Amino acid sequence: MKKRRLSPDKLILSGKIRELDSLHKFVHKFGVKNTLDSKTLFDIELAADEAVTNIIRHGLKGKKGRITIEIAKNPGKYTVKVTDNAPHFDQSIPTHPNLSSDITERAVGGLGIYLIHQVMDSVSYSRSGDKNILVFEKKLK
Amino acid sequence: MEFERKTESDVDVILLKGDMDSHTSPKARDFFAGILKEGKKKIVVDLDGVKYISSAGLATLIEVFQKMHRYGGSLKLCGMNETTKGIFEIAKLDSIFAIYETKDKAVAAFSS
Repeated sequence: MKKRRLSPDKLILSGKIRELDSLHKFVHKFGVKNTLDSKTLFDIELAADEAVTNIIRHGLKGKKGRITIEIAKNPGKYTVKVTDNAPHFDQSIPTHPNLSSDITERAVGGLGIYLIHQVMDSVSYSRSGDKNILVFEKKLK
Repeated sequence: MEFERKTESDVDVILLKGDMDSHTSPKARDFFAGILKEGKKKIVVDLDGVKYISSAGLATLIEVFQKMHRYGGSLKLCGMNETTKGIFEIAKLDSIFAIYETKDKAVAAFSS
């Protein structure tokens, strides 16, 4: 029998950093509904948070926008799709922050995209019209 | 994000409660800035009440560590759960920060 794809859970934000609270609740609700283990839930929450934070800070830069987060359980994986209307902003290119063992040399920021790539199994980006579309996936265990 | 501060012998113990993300980290930075102004040299940050930490939370703790290092202070962490600890490991911060299982062990480490 062919497996049926369910509609993704969806959250729409306007680009305010305080909306991260709504994002956390949204991901947790999805986690409870799909009985995610705590590690998978944390990884999806972290990747979604880092992506949305980057869009707000570096894409929209304080301006009002529209960020849509969709999470779905698909055969063999969880898929998170983040769509926004900020200028071109590709988060699928892995960053290589200075992870020097000398903490005095460490930059305070710059870990966000690195963490997305570390906790997700795949990350892809596309630009469609005036929208950035970031998709990341986590394999089901 | 909530903060609870107490002193055990000459060690300042800070208990953090809540998520550490881009929304809450500015509040945490302000809180720590007040303590660092006092020139405190021995600080334990208890993360037992932190169930979630993002890169913004890590950045806050790195900043506190670096500022204390500059004036000869020392920061120790404790109370992490497995997922939080995992993020420290991915960011290769587990070998940099002095991390202890419990608050008592972290406080005791200052006198050993």
